[in-house]
Amino acid sequence: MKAIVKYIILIFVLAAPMGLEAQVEFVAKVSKKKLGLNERLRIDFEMNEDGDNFEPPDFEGFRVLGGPNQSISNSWINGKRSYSKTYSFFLAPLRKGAITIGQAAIEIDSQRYKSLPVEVMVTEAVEIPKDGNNADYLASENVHLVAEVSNTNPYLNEAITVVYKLYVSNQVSITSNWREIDSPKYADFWSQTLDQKGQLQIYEGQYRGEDYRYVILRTTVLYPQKTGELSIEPLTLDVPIDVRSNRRDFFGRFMTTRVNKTISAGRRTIEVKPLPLVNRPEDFTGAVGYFDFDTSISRTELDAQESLEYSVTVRGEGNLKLFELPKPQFPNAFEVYEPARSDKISTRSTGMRGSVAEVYTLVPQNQGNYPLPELSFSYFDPNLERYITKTATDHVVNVINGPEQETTQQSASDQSASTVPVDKERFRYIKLKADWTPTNPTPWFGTWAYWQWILGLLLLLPVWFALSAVRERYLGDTAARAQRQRKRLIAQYLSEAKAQQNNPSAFYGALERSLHLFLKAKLKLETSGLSKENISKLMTQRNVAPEAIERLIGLIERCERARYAPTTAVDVQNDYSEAQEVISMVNSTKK
Amino acid sequence: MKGLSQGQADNWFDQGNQLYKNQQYKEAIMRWEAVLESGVHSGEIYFNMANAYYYLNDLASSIYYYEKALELAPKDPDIQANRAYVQNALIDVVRAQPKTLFQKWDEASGQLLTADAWAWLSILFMALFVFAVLSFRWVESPGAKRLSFVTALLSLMLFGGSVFLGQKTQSYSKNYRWAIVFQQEMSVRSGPRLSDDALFELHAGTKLRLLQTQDQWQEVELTDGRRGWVLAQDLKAL
Repeated sequence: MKAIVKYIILIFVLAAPMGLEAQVEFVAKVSKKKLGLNERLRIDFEMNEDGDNFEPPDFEGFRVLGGPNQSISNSWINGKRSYSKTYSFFLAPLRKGAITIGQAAIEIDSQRYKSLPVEVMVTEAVEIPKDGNNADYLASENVHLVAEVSNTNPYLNEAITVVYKLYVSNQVSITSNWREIDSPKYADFWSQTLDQKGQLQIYEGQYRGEDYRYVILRTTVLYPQKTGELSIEPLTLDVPIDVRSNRRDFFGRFMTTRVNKTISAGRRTIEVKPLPLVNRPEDFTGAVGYFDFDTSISRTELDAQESLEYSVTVRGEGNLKLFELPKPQFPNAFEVYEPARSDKISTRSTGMRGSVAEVYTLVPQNQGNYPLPELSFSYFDPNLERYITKTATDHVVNVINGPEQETTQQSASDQSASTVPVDKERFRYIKLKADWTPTNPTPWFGTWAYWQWILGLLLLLPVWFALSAVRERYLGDTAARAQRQRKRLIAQYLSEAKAQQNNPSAFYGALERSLHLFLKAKLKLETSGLSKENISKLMTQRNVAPEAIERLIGLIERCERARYAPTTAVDVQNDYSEAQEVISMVNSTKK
Repeated sequence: MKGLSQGQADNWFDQGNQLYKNQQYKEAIMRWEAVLESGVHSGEIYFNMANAYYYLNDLASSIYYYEKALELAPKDPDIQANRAYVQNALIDVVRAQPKTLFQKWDEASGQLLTADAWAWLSILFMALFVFAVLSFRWVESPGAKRLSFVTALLSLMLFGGSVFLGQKTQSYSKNYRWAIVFQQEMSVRSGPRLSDDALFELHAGTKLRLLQTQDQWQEVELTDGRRGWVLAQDLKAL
């Protein structure tokens, strides 16, 4: 245990001087790192603790013109001591090229410290020797105006930032205000300059590897509006610079000289890339950046003639002021007013940021459901290097009560615009009964089958005429045949009587028999035993013409009489022809 | 009707109606589609489908089926009333050019009856003509003869007229083919190339007359007389 305590004490004892030594600085500083052969160089070896046994380097490649000059400064500020001891040499280079000034050594508190070697570039002799003490030279060497461009190869409409910084080294100071001689013009850019408000902030920074103080004079956000090589014109300032001279005033302070220098930021060239043409969406309107897109409506249910608001909003980061918002399309029954645009944009050093909105006021004129078409917005994302399309949700506006208003619409039959009122009734309900027809009816008009019908009907005419002609001929034939039939009939019944014409008594007997036979055959009458009254009665019933009956009865009477009374050949002849006539008369009687 | 009885079509139609009543519009449309696939249609089923699409906020389909319904039932007041609702919600308003009286007659005559109805009418008049000619031959009184002569002459003229109108109706349905825009927004170009100038924009639900085609491009005419070329895929022919 005791051994550990001893060790801890030992560590503290050893560590104590190290803590002191850590604050010792011994550095070599050159007045310039690059000089002409005919110029001179000053090198200071500076330490912050008092040291002894200074050992300068051998300065190979230089001729020592003066030195070592020793200077000590010791000051107390707010109870804090600051001390510096400097050994200075003035050197003239002997040859061109990179020359390394070797290490110097010093002993501080019996410790040896060495400075770092310094490399100096010696160039050709310059015309005007850069006198390290010339105020004009010092001013131009120690004050620099720089335009820092965030991206020299941006896309069209991609934000780039130009920052103008004024670097001032520790050797000079600027105490009064500068004057702007030439303001940069950004011909092919949309630009916005961010003013530095109030007192300029002073920052510590490096300029070409050396410590400098700088102020940000101005920040400008640029959006290139053209592709190709674009140049930014320089910013030129007239700056009064206070340079410390070697002379001292009465009180031993260094005197300062004021030099007015015109310094310029230099011309910068920016190569602007065009936006890719491949996969460019049709609705792309030039938005470049990172955006969100949304549409909204203030109400979804309302009555006709009331108003609602439809807003299209793009929010995000990018060229917000430089593109057009997508234009929505509205149903034709909506009255649409010019949109009100509201921008909430703040510009920062990285570009514009905020939201752009267009608010449309809509007044529906009729009742119904109105789906508002969905809207999409496309932009180019310069980081992903591709186009992105964002689609907002669609909305449906339900107009509940509508006025009895006429709307223009196409009527079904002639597609001409005629006003058909949408009556106050609601949207009509579906039909519950249907009459089905084949979806694809085969057209019948003009087909062969149709023309066959027409031809068939037309053919009826000649066919009909031909048929009627045939019929007429046929009808003529029947008259002749009836004549023949009658003759045959008479011949049939009267053949016996005809054969007996020369014998009157036999003739009349045959005639009477044949008359009875005829009546029996023709009228289905059994007349042989009947009286003449009965015969005439029956024949009347059968519609035999009275004249024919009378003549038939007369003939039968004559036949009966001829059995008893003699007759002549003339009578026979008369009665035979009488019988022929009567038979044909009775025969023509309709049943 | 192939393989589907009348009763089956009615059954599916009724099922669709029931689904519509329960506001299941998508399912109702599926039932009705099945009826259409079976090879029968009617103005009523197209009307019902159009109504269902209206509630689904598909305006282009809605207009499409209203137009189809009107082809089958041109005078139906229900179809016209509901179509007016949908037309109010469309973006494009196409005002037809005023037509001369003759043009109106010309178009009306092409839509008076179907071609087949004209065919039947012409057959009827031809039959009347034949009958009148025959009766002229057979009747004897001079009054009746004169009547049948006049009838024959008139029916012959009417026959010619109905054949003419039938032809006209047929050529009308061939020349006047219509389509509905189904693309939300499309450009009408001056020629059948993407490089041709976009003349104007049309939106879903607008009715167009189809003219000629080349490759996938279709020449169209609006009822107000504007013409141009569009991609055929953006349209759906009636």
